[in-house]
Amino acid sequence: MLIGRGRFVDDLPASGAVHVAFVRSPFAHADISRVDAAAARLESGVVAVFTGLESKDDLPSLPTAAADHWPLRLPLTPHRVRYVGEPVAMVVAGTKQAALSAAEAVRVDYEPLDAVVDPWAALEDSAPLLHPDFGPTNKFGEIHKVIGDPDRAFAAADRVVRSTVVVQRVAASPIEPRAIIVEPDLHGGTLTIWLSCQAPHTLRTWLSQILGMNEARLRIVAPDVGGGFGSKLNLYCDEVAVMWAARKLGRTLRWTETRTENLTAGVHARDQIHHAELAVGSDGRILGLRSHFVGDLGAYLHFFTPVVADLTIDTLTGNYDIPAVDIHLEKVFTNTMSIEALRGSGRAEATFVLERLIDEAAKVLDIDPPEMRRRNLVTPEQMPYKTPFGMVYRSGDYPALLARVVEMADYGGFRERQDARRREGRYIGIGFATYNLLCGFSPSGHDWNPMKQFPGHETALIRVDPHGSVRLISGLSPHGQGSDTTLAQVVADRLQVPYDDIAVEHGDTALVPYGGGTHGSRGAVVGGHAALLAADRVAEKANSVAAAMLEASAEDIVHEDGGFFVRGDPGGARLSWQAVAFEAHFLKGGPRFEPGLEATAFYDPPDVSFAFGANAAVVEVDIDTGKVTILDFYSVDDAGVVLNPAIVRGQIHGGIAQGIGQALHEEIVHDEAGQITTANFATYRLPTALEVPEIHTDMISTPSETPLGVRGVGESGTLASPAAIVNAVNDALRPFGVVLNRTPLRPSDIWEAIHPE
Amino acid sequence: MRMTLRVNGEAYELDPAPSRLLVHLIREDLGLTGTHVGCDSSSCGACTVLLDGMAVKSCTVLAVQAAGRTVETVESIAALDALSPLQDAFSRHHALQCGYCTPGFVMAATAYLRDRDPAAGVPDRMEVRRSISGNLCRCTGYQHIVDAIVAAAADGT
Repeated sequence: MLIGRGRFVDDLPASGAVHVAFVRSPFAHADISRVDAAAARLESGVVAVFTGLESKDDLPSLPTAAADHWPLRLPLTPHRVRYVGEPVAMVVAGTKQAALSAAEAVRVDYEPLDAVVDPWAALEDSAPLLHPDFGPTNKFGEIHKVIGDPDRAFAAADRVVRSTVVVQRVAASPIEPRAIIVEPDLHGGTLTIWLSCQAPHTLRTWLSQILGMNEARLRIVAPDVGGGFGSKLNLYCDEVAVMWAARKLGRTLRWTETRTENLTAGVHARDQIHHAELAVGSDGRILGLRSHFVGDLGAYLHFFTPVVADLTIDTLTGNYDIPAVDIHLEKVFTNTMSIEALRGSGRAEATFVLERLIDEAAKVLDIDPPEMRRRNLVTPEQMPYKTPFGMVYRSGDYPALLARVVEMADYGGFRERQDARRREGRYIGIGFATYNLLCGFSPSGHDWNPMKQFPGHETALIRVDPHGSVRLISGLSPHGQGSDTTLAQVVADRLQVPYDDIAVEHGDTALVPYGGGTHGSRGAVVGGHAALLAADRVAEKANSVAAAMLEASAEDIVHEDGGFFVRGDPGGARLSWQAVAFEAHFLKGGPRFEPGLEATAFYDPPDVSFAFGANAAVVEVDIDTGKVTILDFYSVDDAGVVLNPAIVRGQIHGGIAQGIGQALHEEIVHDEAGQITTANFATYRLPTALEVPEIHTDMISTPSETPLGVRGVGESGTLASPAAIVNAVNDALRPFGVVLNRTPLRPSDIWEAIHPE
Repeated sequence: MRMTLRVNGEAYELDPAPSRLLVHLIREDLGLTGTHVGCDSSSCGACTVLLDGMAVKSCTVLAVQAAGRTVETVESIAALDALSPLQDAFSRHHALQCGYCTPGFVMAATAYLRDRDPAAGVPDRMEVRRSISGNLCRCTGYQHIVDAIVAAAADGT
């Protein structure tokens, strides 16, 4: 990547490939009355134009058996569009320019229907109905969990805090847009797809079913992938259209989306509105938590769409000991793009709601915010601690994490500095939040496992070559997480082979045993243990080869300092790793063992993983412009045993930067007609190096109950950061009596709150 | 329009359409795919190259505007057998994760470092942040990128 030799899908050569452009609905809800591709088909360079209307009997429907009772759709919509950007036709042409030009020449006549974009409005009986065949309302489902006696808790509480908390809709925005190359071999019946994705095996399983082909004949290769963050885990209808068209034409097709397509026709995330309440005693103890919230699904369901908000329910009490909860979630269709997984999905929303309620409660009780948290954090003495939702916290010191971040932020001196600034007419604030990251997806034995279409295990194949070099083939699909490095470290350590002698490969379903991909903070905790298990098996085989060579029994072989010798005789015969590897393949000593030195492991994690931490943000709010400047950001994280500090820090920094974007800058905005008004990077504002401050990190390492002692970390930075920042803004604006319970806090939001009309 | 330009030290004679963007000429006509496209509003900087030594977003430069001029892309920065000191600093400081935005940062930072007075010593981190404020990264949170550029500058690059 540094020298410009990355192999991202759009960088790859594809001989004879022709290009695709899509015709997409400009309406959020409309019927298609006419499609006329005649003029487009005549344009120079055009190979074919496919429309949903003309091809509806030929197009595959998706998803297939992915889940029960999901509304089905075709990759090119024939009759009714349900979100702006929904594809209705595609052009295949010799050049990108010719495809784009011809796409503009496709005429589609629409009869617009009323659209509904607001999820609460979509629940009403009078709302436009998105899926009449599916049911009488737009409600897809609901969950209502009541644990303990929340009614009594709220009745008995000294104070009750009520807040409407809004977490906005965002877009993952990897800097590499989605890209695909599809190469069919009609005679051989195979299909090779280069796809910027995070889980090639899973996608292959479902795509082979959708395309009606033998799974073994479908090969998916994830080459270099320029970020995913959960948005490249899916069966996208436009990608499926490219696959279908490639097979139909018997030609290699390639398509790379534009950024505008990524922001409008790529999946979205978050988007929850909570009517939440916290019941507290005057001593600061939290007695109960209630929330009635809506989870906007969008118009169609992708893999995680229906379960993202389930994660919010199951993690809503965070690190705190809250005995009574009443959580009611309603899931609803709207005329928007689907909500899907995004780094921290479901859990970041939960953390934001909880941490805002805690701060508001601290305010009404006049208790210092860190102290309010201290009084309610689950302590090590309470562990193993079972949350109301059945999660078991076995280890970790949450009060210590909070104390450390309070110390790092120099909270002791902060209030004086704040007062001094206020006297100068300047408003600084500090905000705290803690997080508990449920991750390491996913164990087959866990009661909670909403990801029905995804395997939870991970694989590793370790292959030792005759000269002793090691190849590790992992079922992970890293795209920046540094797994190549950390997995090699695990194997190097276990096999006592130099790190530089280990090559790591992944991403090609033709090469890699069936794995789960990279998402949900599972790389080290699931992928790492798969690699360790495979390494254990290779080490055992190497031992028995060495035993045969040394004419001893395997139990008497010691593997130390990269060599093998007989126990009790360290000065005697000693075999190098290379000698053992060679003999394992060439059997010069005769038939003493099965040849080869390789092993495959499929690792089903025994439990989910938890990582935890605390953040503090110090901000200054310009009350004339509403602009928030983050002066400092502090993060204390417990990711268990840290395999590689730089990589772990990098994950934390990146997650925090996304949290900053969520807190202050990013929002997918729809107008009432369902048009997205933030459809490019000029309007959908990712934080730059000027919006992300210096991030001060520290780590506390509590080993997890696994052989490597690791925990997840990929998503950690996203969970508490928006809450810490918004708590800091509220703290800064306390003299104005302003309460802000939403993200993002744009300058206009803050200015209007300070200067109400 | 027929034109000549120098790219990475080599002279080319090309005939791009007037509307062709420089980034597409670089990637598709010259096969130099290190320079990337990440947006369609001149916002992300993944397409940054040096045009007569100045960092520009090649998605916002027409190919014909480069006529008679010199272009340097990320492929020209490393020597055959060694990374540039800046690239080496990126590697040592873990300043890239997915690597997609990295060529843009390498070019923007290369221009920044070339334009700096090497005797100026360790740069102010805010100044470094301003120099890369036209480049978006979604993976790193910028911290390690700033570390790498500061380190490369401090080494007198």
